[in-house]
Amino acid sequence: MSNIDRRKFLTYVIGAAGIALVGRQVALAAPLRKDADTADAISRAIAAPTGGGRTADGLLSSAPREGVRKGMVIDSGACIGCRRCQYACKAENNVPDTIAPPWIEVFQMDNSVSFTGHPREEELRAGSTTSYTESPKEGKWYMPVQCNHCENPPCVRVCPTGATYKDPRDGLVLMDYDRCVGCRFCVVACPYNARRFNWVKGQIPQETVNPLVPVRPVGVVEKCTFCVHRTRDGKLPRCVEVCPVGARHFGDLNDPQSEVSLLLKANPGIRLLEELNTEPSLWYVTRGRKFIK
Amino acid sequence: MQMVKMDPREDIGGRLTLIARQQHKDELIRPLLNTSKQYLLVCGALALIAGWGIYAWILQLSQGLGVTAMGTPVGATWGVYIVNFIFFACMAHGGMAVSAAVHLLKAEKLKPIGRMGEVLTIVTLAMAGFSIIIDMGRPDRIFNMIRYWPERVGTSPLTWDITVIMVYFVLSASYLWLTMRRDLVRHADRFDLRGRLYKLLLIGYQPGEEKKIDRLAWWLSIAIIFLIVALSGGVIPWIFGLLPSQPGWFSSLAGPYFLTAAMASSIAAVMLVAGILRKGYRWQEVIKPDVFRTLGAVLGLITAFYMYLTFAEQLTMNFAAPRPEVVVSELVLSGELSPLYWVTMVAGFGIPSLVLILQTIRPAWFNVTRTVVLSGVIIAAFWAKRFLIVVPSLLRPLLPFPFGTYNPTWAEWSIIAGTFALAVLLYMLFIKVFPIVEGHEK
Amino acid sequence: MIGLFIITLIVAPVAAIILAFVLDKPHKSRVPGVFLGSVVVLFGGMIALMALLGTALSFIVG
Repeated sequence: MSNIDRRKFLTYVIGAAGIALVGRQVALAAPLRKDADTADAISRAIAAPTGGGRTADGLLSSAPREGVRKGMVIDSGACIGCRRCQYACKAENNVPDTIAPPWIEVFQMDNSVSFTGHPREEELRAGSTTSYTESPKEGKWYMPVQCNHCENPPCVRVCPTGATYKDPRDGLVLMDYDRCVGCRFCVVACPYNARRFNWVKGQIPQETVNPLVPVRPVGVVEKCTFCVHRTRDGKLPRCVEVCPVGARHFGDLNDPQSEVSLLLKANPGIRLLEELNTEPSLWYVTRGRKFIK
Repeated sequence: MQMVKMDPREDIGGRLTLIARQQHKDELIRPLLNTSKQYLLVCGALALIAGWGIYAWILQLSQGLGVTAMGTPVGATWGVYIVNFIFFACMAHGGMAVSAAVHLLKAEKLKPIGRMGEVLTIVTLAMAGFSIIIDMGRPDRIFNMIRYWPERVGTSPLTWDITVIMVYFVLSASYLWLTMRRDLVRHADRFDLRGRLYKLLLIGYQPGEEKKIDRLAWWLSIAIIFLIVALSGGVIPWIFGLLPSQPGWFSSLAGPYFLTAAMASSIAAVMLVAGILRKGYRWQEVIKPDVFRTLGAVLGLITAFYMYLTFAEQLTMNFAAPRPEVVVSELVLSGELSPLYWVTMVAGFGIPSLVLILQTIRPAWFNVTRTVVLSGVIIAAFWAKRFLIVVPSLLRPLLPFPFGTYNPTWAEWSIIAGTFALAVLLYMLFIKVFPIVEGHEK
Repeated sequence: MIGLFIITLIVAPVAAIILAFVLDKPHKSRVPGVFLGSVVVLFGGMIALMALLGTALSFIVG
C-alpha cells in the first residue's frame, strides 16, 4: 500500500514541477487537424508499421513517432475489480459525473457470462451479473473495458465530419471536440460501447480540473484516449499507473522488446469481438493471481 | 328522344357553357377561393402543437439532449428522433412515385393527385431534415457536414445520406415548381397577392413551354425512381445494415426491407392526403374512386410483402442465430416490446393489408373511406415498426453491459408531435397559396 | 473509397438523365436553363440555410 502512495506522491511532484513545459510540449504535439489528410488516408498510412523505438525504460518517449502502435494488455486474472483505474481515469481526464459509467467500465464475470455473450435474463433479474459494488468475490473474475483503439475502427469510418480519427503516428483513435456535431453515429458503430456522449454540460469543480485535458462542451462524444497527453510525454496512462495489482500494461505493440509485446509472446491472449474485424489494440491475458504484485 | 342523364353543366351541343366552364375551373381552385372556419380552427390547433414542440426543442437546445430518455453506454443512443427521420424520409416517395407512374406508365387516372403527392414529398423531406437537426448534439455545427463533405463522402454512410437526400429534394422541388407553372399562368391574373407570387415564379416563362416540361417530367420520373431505390433502399438502410455492432441491424435484408416499407408508407400517405382533401373540398368527381382502388390494391400487396420480410428477418434471428441476435429478437417477440410489436403487426399491417387485398379481389366490397382510414392505420403502424427497428438493438449491447431501457420523455413526444403538426400546417398553407389539383387541359 | 463509388453510382445516372432531357426535343427552349437554375438556387439555398441555422443556433446551444 505504502509503495503505491509513495509512487503516487512522486508522480505528482514531478508532474507539478514540469507542468508548464509539459503543457507547451503537449500543445505542440497535440493532434494536428488543420493540415491533416483525410482520416482514411491516415488510417491507410498506419497499415504498414515501420517498427517503433524505445527509451531506456521501455516506455514511449515524448512526441509521437512514426510506426508506433500503442497498445495495452490487461491481465484479467490479476484484476481484482477495485475500479481504481476507473476513478483515476475519471479524475485525470475531467470526466464529469453525468457521464456514467465513465470511460472505463469494469465487469464482474464468471463462466456463465462469456466475453461476448449476454447474461441470461434470470441472472440480471436476480441482481446484475456485471455490475457490482464489492470485489473481489470468490469465483468471479474481473474485466475492465474501454476504447480499444482499433486498427480498423468502425467509428472512424462512419463519422460524417471526421471529428474522430486515427492518428497515424501512434495509432490512437482520438476526438476533435470542436468538429463533433453530436450525431452519435460513432457511438452506435462501436461494438464495445466504448464511447460516451455529453447529454448535458458536465460540471467539474474548478479545483479538480486537470489543465492538460480539454473539458468537453455539451453535445459531443468522448472516450478513452490512452491518456494521449501523458503517453506522448513519456508517461503511462493513468489507469495503468494506479492499478494496485499491476494488472495493466502499456507500450508499443510494434516494438518486440516492449513489455506488452513480451507479455503477448509469453501468454495466450485474446481481444474482444475479434470476429468483427476491428483489430483492437487492447489485449486480455490471464496469468492468474500469483502475478499480483 | 331518349332521356339521357346529362351533366347539367353541359348544353345540348355537349360543350360547356362559359359559366359552367368557369365553375368547373373554380372547382379545382376551391381552396384558393374560400377559407372555412374549420380550416382556421385546425390551423390554429396545429400552430399551438407546433409551437409547443418548438418550445420543447428550445429547451433541449439550451439544456442538451439530456432532456430525452436516450443514454450511453447503456440505453438507446438513438431514439424517437431518428425513428421520426426514417419515417418522414421514407414517406417522401409516394408523391414522386405516383407522378412517375403517371408519366411513365401513362396512368392518367392518377394525375389529379400528382401534385398532392409532390407537395407531400417536399414537406416530409423537410421534416426529415428537421428531425436530424433535432437529434444532433451540436446543431450549431451543422455546417460541418457540408464543410467536411469532400473528406468524408468516401466512407461515411451519413454523408451519403445527406448527399442523396439533397439531390432528391432539389429534383423534386424543381419538378413541382416547373410542372405547376401551367396552373400558375392560368390563375395569375385572378389573384392579387398570390398573383404577384405566381408571376415571380413564372420567371423565364415561355408560352408553349409545357411540352418541354412534360419531357422533363418524363425524364425526371426515371431519375426519381432510381433515387427512391438509392435513398430508401440504399443510403438510409445502410446507416443500420452495415454495422455489425448492433445485432438486428446488421443485415443484407436492410435495403429491401426499408425500401418496401417506404413504398408502402408513402403510397398510404398519398392516399390519406388525397382522401382528406377530396372529402374536404368535395372533389369526388375530380379524384375518382378508381384512384383509391388502384393504389389501395398496391398498398395491400406491398404491405403483405413487408410482413413476409419481417417474418424472414425474425426467423433468421431466432432459428440458430448467434446469441446477440436471439436476445434482440426475444425482446421484440416476447419481451418488453412485444405488445407494441404484435399490435403493430396484426392490427397495423395484417388486418389492413388483408382487407385491402380482399376488397381488390371482390370489387363490390370496395369503399373509399375504408381505404383511406386503413392507409392512416398503416402509416401509424410504420412509425411504430421503425421504432422497433431502431431501438431494440440498442438496448442489447454485445458486451455484458446491463440491458437498457428507453421510455421517451415528454420533451421527445412534444417535439415529435410538433414535427407532425408543422408538416400538416405547411401542407395546409401550401394549398391556400398554390393550386393543389393539376388543372385539366380544357 | 467505397463511398465515392456509391455516390458516383447514384449521381452519374441522374446527371445523365438530366443531360438527356436537356438534349431532348423540343429544342430551343428556356426550360433547361430554368431547371438548372432552379437546381443551383435550391442547392445553394439549402447550404446557405444550414450556415444561417448554425449561426442562429450557436446563440442557444452550448
